[in-house]
Amino acid sequence: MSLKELEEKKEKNKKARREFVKYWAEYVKNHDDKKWSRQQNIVINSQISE
Amino acid sequence: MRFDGEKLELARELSKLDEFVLEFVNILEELDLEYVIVSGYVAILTGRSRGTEDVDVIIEELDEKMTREFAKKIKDGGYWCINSEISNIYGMLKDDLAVRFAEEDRVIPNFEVRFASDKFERSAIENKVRVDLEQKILYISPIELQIAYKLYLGSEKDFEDALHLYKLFAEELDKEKLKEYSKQLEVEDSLDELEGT
Repeated sequence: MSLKELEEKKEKNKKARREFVKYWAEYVKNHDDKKWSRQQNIVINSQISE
Repeated sequence: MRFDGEKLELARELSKLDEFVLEFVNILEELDLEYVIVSGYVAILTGRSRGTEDVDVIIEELDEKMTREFAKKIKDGGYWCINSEISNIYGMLKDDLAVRFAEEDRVIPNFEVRFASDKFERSAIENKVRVDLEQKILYISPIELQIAYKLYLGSEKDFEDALHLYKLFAEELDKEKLKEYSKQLEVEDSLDELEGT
């Protein structure tokens, strides 16, 4: 894979990540706080040891 | 979640990070200090799906005596200072450096505390947003300033944080204020990119 192709792949990935951020923000906006935070806490709590 | 521009009501299930933050700001409240939480934790508190190793806290500028009292209270609360002797933090804070506090026997997560030293940090304190969280209260930076500042920081992670806040509070944001902060921080192009994303 050339550097140009790698750059295109990176750009595509960046766009996909941003689309997910938007999707998740909509999800948070339109769902009960408990519902989204329970899912988010799996991500956050896994980084913090007891 | 309900937000009216000045107050945010959240009924989220608390994360371990939220519990750390609420314990720490309780010490600031006991000392009656003006403070505001800025940066990544603001996005995370409101749902952004990522973790963090530090929580950024801006406090009002204190004199040496008050800083000693603050340091003692922090130490008595079970925290240690990672990047200084806890008794010497005044010099660092006065030099516009951040001091990092973590719970004893831990390094992360930690609280990165600095004095409000520029107009944006002072504005964050003056226009802070109250957050009601599980019958407790904490204060965060105005969302408009937070978005503009994240654009100023400029990494992709910061852009994503800004995007989360922008989309989440699309209806409640004061767009003129956001534009003004973006102008002052010279990130108008990034704001255009954000609005077009």
